[in-house]
Amino acid sequence: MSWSLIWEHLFIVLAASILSIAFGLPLGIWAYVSPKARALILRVVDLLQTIPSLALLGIIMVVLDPGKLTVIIGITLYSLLPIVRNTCLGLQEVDPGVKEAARGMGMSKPYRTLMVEFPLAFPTVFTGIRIAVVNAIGTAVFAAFVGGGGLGGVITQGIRVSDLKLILMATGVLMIIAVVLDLLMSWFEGQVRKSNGSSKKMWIPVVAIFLAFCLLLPYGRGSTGDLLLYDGDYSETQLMHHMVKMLVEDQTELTVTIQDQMSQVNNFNALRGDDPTCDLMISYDGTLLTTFFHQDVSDVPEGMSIYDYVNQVATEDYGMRLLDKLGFDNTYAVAVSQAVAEQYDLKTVSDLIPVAEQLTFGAEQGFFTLEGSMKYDPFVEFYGLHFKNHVPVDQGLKYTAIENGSFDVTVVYATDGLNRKVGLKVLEDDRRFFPDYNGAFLVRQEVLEEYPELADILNQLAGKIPTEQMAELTYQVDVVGRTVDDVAHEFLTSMELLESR
Amino acid sequence: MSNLFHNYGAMLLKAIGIHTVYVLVAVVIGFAIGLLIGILLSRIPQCSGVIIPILSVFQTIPGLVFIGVLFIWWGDTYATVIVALSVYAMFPVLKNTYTGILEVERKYIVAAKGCGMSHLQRLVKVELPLAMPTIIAGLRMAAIYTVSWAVLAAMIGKGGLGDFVYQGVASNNNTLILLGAIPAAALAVAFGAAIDFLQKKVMPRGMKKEAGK
Repeated sequence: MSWSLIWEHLFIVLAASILSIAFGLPLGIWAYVSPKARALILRVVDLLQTIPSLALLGIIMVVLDPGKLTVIIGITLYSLLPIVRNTCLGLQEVDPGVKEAARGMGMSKPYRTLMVEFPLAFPTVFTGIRIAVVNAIGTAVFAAFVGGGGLGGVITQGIRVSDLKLILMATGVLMIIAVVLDLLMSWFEGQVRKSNGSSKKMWIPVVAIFLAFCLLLPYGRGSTGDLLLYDGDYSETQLMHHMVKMLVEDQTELTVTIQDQMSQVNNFNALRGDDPTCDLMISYDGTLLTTFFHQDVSDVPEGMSIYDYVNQVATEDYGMRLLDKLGFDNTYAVAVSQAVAEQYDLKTVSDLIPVAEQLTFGAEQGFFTLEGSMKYDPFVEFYGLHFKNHVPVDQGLKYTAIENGSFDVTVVYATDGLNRKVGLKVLEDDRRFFPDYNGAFLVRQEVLEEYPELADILNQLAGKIPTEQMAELTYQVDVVGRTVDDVAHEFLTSMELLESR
Repeated sequence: MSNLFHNYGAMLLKAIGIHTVYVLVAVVIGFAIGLLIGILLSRIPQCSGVIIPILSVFQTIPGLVFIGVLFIWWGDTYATVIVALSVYAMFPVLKNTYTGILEVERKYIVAAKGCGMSHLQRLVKVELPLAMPTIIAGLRMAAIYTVSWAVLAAMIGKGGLGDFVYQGVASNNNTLILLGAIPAAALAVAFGAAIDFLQKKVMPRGMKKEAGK
């Protein structure tokens, strides 16, 4: 966890706050001025608040690319309710005598509302802003799911490797930020209340928020560099992206920037489209086929490998190219705990058939979708397995769940270092249900044309990282606790692709 | 579209059912505890100046963290979900109960004292009914938020509408996300409407007239 993550988090919070103030105040005033619009406006902002954060961000991503903007818009929508409601309420509560007096002096309606009523309502309005800002700090954690950066990534990483210390530390920082901002704002609120509606004091907090935002701007704007990558949301992708940075910066004059964490899905969405925000990513032929292209193994023409087919589709339809296979095959592997393996003497997936009725199967939600062929239903049907029950859990919590005994059988990624930590026994896929998931770099064509040397540099890694090697590298990061940078550097040095430092 | 309902219809109904149960149970527990603590705190306003801010700080812990940590301790039981949701549902009720009771005008309490009411009678017959609209507003907030937070149950494999949202996010499928989000929003609106109805019922007669003039 570093300071830049904290500033990034603050940037998201402040940007969303400014946006929600900019939209919320006029909406609130409108709701006050026009009773007809009031019911509608209040109902809509109320409804926005009821959409679950993750779903709201998902919906926004239908329109926008993943990234900071998505999070900021999401939080802005959430923050509207307290601001709009309090603005409307504050204006309604202004002493009727004052309103009357203002009218008696011949002030026009807009002048009355803005110059007399609004300053008097400001303390209530500001309370709304305060609630919105404090809530935004917590909501901004979801930025991690859509590649927005901030402290959410630290928390999800902590949950993934069951590192309570990391989780508590990040949460502690969030709480401190909330308290400090809340105290600051309550002090301002006191000042404003004392000033009794003097419009000069009213602007102090607004200016302060804006100034703070400007100071944090460097943490929010798009990154610069010749090559842009996103950080992965699990160690394998992080390792590969750091290797890209090291190799390219060592062998060329180019600078490589690694931006916020993103899941594979979001990273791919950021890579495609008219306005891509990154240049390449590590991915897998199987993932490309099923998750990104929404196709199936049966769509691959006879006699063609998944890798070749996917490469063809990527080139023709998406303007991207897969570089050579890196060597590891991060396919799904069915695994059981050591104890269960011994109890039932399990070696292959077929061994599960007679005992499945006593066992519970658990995996991440993505494995249980109805679409696609490399999923739970086709899998149990293919092998003729009848499990007692099946449980979908968050990918990050899967290993904790199997350690807790929440389920007995699971599906893991072959290269995951946590397999060894938890002592999982991988069962041989004896009837070959799961296809390959060969790791390879996916690069935009335009980038390859702009930097023709890039393909050769990255292909130096081709075939150099077999599955066991990758499992060892992720073990070093996730279990031993070494930094991604350190492990990636050590590996490249041992391959003599990089001088030791 | 019909294909969609054919595939997911039964799952969706089940998920809505589970989701509703989570919200109901958690809100009832959260309401009971929040009401109780709120009343207790309103008896000792001098200590509450310290306790309420501390509670507010705990409220800023993201639900994601709370449910994640509870999961690491307890595993994927229903208790994990219910406890996490109840705690979050408790906060708005607690705060509103506290402020609602404190905002009861002094003159009514003095009058009640003058009538010879005991401490408990004052609370039950005067303060709580007068604070009820504020308390119910807290309940409304709690219910609506809980609908949204119950999505996190899917994170630890305990079903609900979050299953669709998580699956959709994981497999790049917007239809699934919407299939989770739209019923969740509808559920929240339904809870809100039910509580608005309740709000009208609990409003003391005297206050209704005042509002109507």
